[in-house]
Amino acid sequence: MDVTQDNHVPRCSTPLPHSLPAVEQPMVQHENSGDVEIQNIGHQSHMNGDSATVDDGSLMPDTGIDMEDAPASDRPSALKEESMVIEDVTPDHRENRSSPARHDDFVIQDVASEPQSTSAPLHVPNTENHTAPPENFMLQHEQDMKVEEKTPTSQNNTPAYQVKFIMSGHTRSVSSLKFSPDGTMLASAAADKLIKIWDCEKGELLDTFEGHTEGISDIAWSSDCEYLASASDDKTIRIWSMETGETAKILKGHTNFVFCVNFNPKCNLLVSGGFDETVRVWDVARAKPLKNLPAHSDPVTAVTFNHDGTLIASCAMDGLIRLWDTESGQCLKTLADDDNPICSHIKFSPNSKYILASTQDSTIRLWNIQSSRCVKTYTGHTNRTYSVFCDFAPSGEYIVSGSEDSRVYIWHLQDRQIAQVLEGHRDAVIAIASNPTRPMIASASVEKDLTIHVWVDTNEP
Amino acid sequence: MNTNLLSNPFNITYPTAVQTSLYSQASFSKFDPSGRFVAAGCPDGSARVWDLDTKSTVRWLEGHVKAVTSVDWSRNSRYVLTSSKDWNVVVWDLASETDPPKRVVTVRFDAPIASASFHPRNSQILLVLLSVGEAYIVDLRKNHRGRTELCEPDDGDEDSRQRNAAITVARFDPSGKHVFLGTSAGYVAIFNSRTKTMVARHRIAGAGIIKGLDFTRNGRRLVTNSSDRTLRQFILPTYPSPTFSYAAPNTDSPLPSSSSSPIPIPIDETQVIEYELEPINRFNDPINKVAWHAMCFSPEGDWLAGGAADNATHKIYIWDPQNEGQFASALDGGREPLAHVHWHPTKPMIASTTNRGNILIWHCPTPERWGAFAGGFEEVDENVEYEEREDEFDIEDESAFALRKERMEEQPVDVFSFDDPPSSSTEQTNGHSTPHLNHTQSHTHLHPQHDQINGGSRSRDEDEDYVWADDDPDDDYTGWRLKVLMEEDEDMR
Repeated sequence: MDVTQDNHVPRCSTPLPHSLPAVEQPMVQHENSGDVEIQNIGHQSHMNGDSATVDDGSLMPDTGIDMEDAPASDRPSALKEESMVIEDVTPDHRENRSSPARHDDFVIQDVASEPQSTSAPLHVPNTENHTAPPENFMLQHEQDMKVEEKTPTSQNNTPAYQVKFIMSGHTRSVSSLKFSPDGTMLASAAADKLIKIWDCEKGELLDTFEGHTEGISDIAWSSDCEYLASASDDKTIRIWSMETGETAKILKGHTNFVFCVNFNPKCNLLVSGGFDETVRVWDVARAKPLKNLPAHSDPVTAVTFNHDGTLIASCAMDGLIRLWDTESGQCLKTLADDDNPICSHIKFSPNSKYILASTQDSTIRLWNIQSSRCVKTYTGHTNRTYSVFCDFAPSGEYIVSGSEDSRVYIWHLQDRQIAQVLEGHRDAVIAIASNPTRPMIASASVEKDLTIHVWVDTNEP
Repeated sequence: MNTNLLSNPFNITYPTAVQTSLYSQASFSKFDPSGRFVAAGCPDGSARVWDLDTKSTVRWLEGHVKAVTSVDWSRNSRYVLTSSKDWNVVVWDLASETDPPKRVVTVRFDAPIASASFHPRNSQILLVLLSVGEAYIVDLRKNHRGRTELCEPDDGDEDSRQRNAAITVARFDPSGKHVFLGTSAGYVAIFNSRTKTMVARHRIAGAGIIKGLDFTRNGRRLVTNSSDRTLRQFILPTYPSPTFSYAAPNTDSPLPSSSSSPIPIPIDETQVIEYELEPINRFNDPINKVAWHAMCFSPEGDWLAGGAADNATHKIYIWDPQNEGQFASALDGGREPLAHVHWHPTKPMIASTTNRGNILIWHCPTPERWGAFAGGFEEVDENVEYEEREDEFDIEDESAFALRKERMEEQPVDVFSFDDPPSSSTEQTNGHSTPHLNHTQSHTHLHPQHDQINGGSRSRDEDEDYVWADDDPDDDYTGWRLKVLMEEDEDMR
């Protein structure tokens, strides 16, 4: 079965108007494409060859994908529609992957109980040029881990995240992951137009939301876990009721891809940003636009409310972070670095006094809002292409971010040193999420991997 | 939270312009203690709750069959109390996930209800005023269940019968310890809400019928509206609790007319304080001599807003009640005459209702600062001679710069704790504070007298009146949520 790639998601298709040569601008392709097959060129060209699975280019995004129906063994019938599993084109890749996974519509590998899996965490303190995990990688790693466990490390406060589940189910790049505010569920959205809801404790797929006509770039939970909002390339935002699993509202108004979305704490307002360079504020219950802020001069990559909902922060590819008064819609402040690197993602600190901003110069900065100064910088990861998520790690004393070198990086908040590097993904990690109630991180990566890893901190009870 | 970033160059703390009109059939409207909502009552018997974020109706309180005469909010806004001419008062629970929300209780009387309000500390205690001029305290708690009419002691003489005229207005004071009743004979009677006995009675000379009462948040100042078209401001004395007995009852204590601190008036159980209360300010319109439909203090008592009963214009007068009662401004809201006015609990914002049923939300607009759009750009009001530092434009060695930056980044940051002045929401997390009552202020201003009287042993929490009110507390907890209900049909309403 051939699948044409007609649904790019901006977050997963390297929307880089400035930094890519014209040929490689997927945005341009987007606009001209219609139903024509689009190839994910930017993706390939930015892998820099340092990842384990990059090879001669005969990968899924560039060729037609062979799909085959999975055996309808014990799969819930509702999932038949999406029960296609990607068969790897290159044979030697198949070896690298855990092959049973390929024949199920969604597979959870409980890695903790199955140490033979190839995907395992690796505690590599700040190693550059990490090469592909070889066959004996796991073994070697196991030994490392044992040694580490035996020596009573002085740093009891260092996180020791280990993979708990590897969940697959999406058939295109996973663009966004969000834990529910009560910490029990994980929502994932992908370029395959689907949203999947997973149980964090069991790693089971709970639900799949289907309805968007294009890929999805971002999702957000309402604070009462009643609703989920999704931003899609079909220029709409859908609000899903968790109770019914159906679309509760469709918010129409953006004139181009919607890229980011968030609820306010009271859940009566929703803010969204997109490729039409606006930030829009919506009345959730009525699906009506309330404000349209001509916020930026380039696609808006992240929007968020502060903890009490009185401020909106937005960031965009123009490299600016702007703060808005929710009530009046007035711009209150602009944070900008001298070099204006493209801003990938922003996140308010728990007390909303700081903004964590990741930029596509492979840097994460912590800004003091009041003084407009950058007070911390975190480096070591790679972020030059995608809008990679960053977040405060569950305990809060750490910063966590995805990276285009297929790893997840965790830094100490204060001393800015890398605390842990999580390995296991085989492609750029765009989406990460921190569980608000337990020591748990989720990460997901793009086309060549498609798995969601759930990591738990073994140093925490 | 955003207060640090908002700047108001002229520091105007009263509203100056209409922000929004909410189209409804309301006869009055009232902000909730958190400032999120506006509740409005309509002559057709319905009441609605508006969300100020979205400026749309979030709940319809449909249950009355005749005009709604008042609404009140519980201290954390979970419960709404409506009273109606259909002889019923209804308590609604906004935390219920339905629209209209669940009715917690319906209390029926044998006359149309003029107004009803919650006790500031416990929403299970209601104060109900009937249009026939009787006031009741209704206690819905299991251990205290009952309905008590607030009656002035009948001395049997002609004088008292005259005073026992119809009650025209009934309010709890912000602490909830006392009920203030205004009568048609120009008296203000103060009852203890626990014992339901009268503790004081003041004649207000020349007032005529008392039409309205309002308090500052700390309960120190009272403003009355009366049929002589004048608003009067009083400083209230401290009324002792009736069970206290004191050595020397002195009912002829000096008038606390213009004194800045309340004078404790000792009293024994049987005695009622009785004297004429002298206003410290009078507010009226000397030219048009308009009457006032309603008046309201700003949250801290810095301003007093009066809604003029002018049948051709919509005018709100604003005075500075602390500064000799100076007139500050008159807000013109167009041609629909004003019916009601209410000040927002935290912001310079007023909701005024027109007699056509529209609610005008007044605010203080902040000018757009275009400089905010540029990073690292500071707007100045006038030209400033810039003094350049000696080394300001020196080209610094890159490594030195990096080192300096590195050192700067060593400074620990605190991303968790909040240190802004407690907003209304955080303040309310304290179970004892009420939205109308600033915690610290009330302690220092209201209670020292009591502390002295009782040898300083009586703390706020031991206060009998508070203990009584806090017994069997309601479920009006701070973290309750108003569920967002998706409107099913876009043009349903």
